[in-house]
Amino acid sequence: MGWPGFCFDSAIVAYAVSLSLLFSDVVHPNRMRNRAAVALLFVAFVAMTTLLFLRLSRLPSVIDYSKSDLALLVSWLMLTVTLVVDARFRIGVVVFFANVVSLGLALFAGGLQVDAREHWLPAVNLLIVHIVLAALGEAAFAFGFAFALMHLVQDRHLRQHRFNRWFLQLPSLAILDTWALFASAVGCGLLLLAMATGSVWGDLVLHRWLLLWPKFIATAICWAMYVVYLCVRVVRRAADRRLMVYHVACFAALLFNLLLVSGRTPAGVA
Amino acid sequence: MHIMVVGMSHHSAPVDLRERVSLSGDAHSHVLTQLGGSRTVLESVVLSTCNRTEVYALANSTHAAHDFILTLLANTSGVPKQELAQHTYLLQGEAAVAHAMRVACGLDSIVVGETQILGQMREAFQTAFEAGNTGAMFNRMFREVLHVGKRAQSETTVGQHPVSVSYAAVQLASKVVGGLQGKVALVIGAGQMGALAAKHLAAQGVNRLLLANRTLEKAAVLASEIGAQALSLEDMEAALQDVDIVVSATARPGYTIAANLARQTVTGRRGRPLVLLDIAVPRDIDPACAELPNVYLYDVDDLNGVIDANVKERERQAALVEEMVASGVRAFSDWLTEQEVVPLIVALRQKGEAIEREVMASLVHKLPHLSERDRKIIHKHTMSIVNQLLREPIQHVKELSISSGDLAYASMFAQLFGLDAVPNDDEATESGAVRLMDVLSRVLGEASRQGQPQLHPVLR
Repeated sequence: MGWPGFCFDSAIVAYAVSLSLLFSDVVHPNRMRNRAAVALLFVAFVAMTTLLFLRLSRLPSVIDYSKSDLALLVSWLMLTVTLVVDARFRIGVVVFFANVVSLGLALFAGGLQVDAREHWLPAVNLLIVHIVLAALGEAAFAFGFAFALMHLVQDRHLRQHRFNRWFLQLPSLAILDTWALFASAVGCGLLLLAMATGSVWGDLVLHRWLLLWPKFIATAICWAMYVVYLCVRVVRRAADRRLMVYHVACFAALLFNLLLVSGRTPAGVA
Repeated sequence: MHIMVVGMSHHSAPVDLRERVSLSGDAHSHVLTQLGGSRTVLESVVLSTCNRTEVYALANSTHAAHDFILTLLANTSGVPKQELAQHTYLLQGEAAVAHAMRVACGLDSIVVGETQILGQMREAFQTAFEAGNTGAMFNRMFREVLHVGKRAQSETTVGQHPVSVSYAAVQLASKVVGGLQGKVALVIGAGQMGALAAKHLAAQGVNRLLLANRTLEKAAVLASEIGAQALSLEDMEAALQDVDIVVSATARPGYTIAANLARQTVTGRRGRPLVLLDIAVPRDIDPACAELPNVYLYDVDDLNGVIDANVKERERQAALVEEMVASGVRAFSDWLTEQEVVPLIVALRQKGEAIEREVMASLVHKLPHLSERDRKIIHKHTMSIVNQLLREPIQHVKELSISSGDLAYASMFAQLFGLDAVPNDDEATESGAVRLMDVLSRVLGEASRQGQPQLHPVLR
């Protein structure tokens, strides 16, 4: 199995147990469970950081990454951001929802470890910028997805008059709507920059624009879906249930693009 | 020595008695001065708020101190001592310390979790400290009490779950629109319920408050009082377009907001949510409004549901605070035990250093040719031997004393190292009968506490 396998399994187990404890703490508050959950989240963070380090250090080049590496990086970014923000502002259930999404991405990463790779690429710096922008953009979209999920849950509570602990713990619809809007706007900006840098890199290295490349088309469609969401949201001044369901669909499309659409360029570059 | 609290609160006394016993200004200073000058009470803190008057005391005899405090309060307030005795409580040891912590956390307040009491407790301690009524024991104890109170406020939400109808309505509306600042609210009905709701919304800082009533004059009177804008019921329909929250509380039959009106309103709002709070019985707002998109309709039963949820949440949070109180009592107990072991540790270190000095003197006498540098090196190494020998026994005696909660291990330790026995004030001052009762109560107490860490004797 080796160290990467051990780190991955440790991270997933610690992550899953931690989320179970967080869930249990929301249902019935208990300081011991909460502390154990945060400690396990930290264990998951250490294991994932080590795993990322091991994976990236074994690559011939930083840009020689796989979809699995990218999914893991996005998951790691979400975990890190929630841990840092929670330490400062105690964001409660946001930690739970964001990390449910993050755990899902980490599990996807585990199932996609075999990928064909090229071992040499020119104009590496530009490609690294493209990768970093894409990873940050996808992390922002993943946060937006978590907020949209929370919005749907809270809306259900308010519609069905279920006044339980989740209702009390979850932020208001207006706040969740604002956070989802902000995260999606940031994600859209970053993804646009990532697409632009990726295209410029294609022009420099492959001497042609990659406009008909499946990955580019799928990414552009995802980006357009998010732009439609942003436009509707800005025009309507508030998001309702249908718009949030559409937001979830946008993220599903993004996941499909991230994990299932081939990343190989016409020249065989990943 | 015993830590005790003698006091009265809303649990034990009616308001007319509480207000007579309440100590403010000069009376508070007078009581502190009397307590400070007493030989019965060694340390004291007096807490007096609108709902409670409590005297925390450290005394050699609980009985004498209780009697002294009751007499003092009776003399200051003019309430007969017998009547006071019937309406006050006396708590001792662990119960007294835990009570102080519960009070500071707001668990003992009328509105559970209220935060004002922590400031009042801090002020009471500060006043007693400045008057010279506190010593090392109470300084530490109240530091712990205030720390637990602060933790309860910052680490739990015990005070953040309102249990009144008007707060529940605000909470429900806030869960949709996210806070009332900058929002437009409309209250329909200028009767008693409507007036209460309007005043509450105004206090919550809504940007614009509209008040609609069948009789415009009545609405205008109330509106001028709270800075709202009065409307007739006819004008209300046009105003609905800009409103975020509607509270309807009329006594008239029929709906003030029918489904058709709500549907027309929603059409022009571009997805902006509308919260309808119907606090009238019979209901004012057509239940069919709840089916409309972006409309959230709640009636009195829903508000009661929110209150129930808040009550349950408070109970959950109170359980967390109780854990903090238990850990605060434990920390104070550990500190008490440590204070009694510290002199022993100092004595042991002094003995070790004295032996080392004697050995060095003997060595210098037998080896006079040693240079100053040689002597320093040998001194450094012999001290290292002493320190290494003592480190683990000292650590262990501290841990054993804290876990057992008494000085049996410390006494054994003193005997093993040939030190003076640990002084025990209780033994010196208490009679044989009292000691026997103490031993019996400890045996009985310990029988029921098997498996739990023992607290310091002062807290038992």
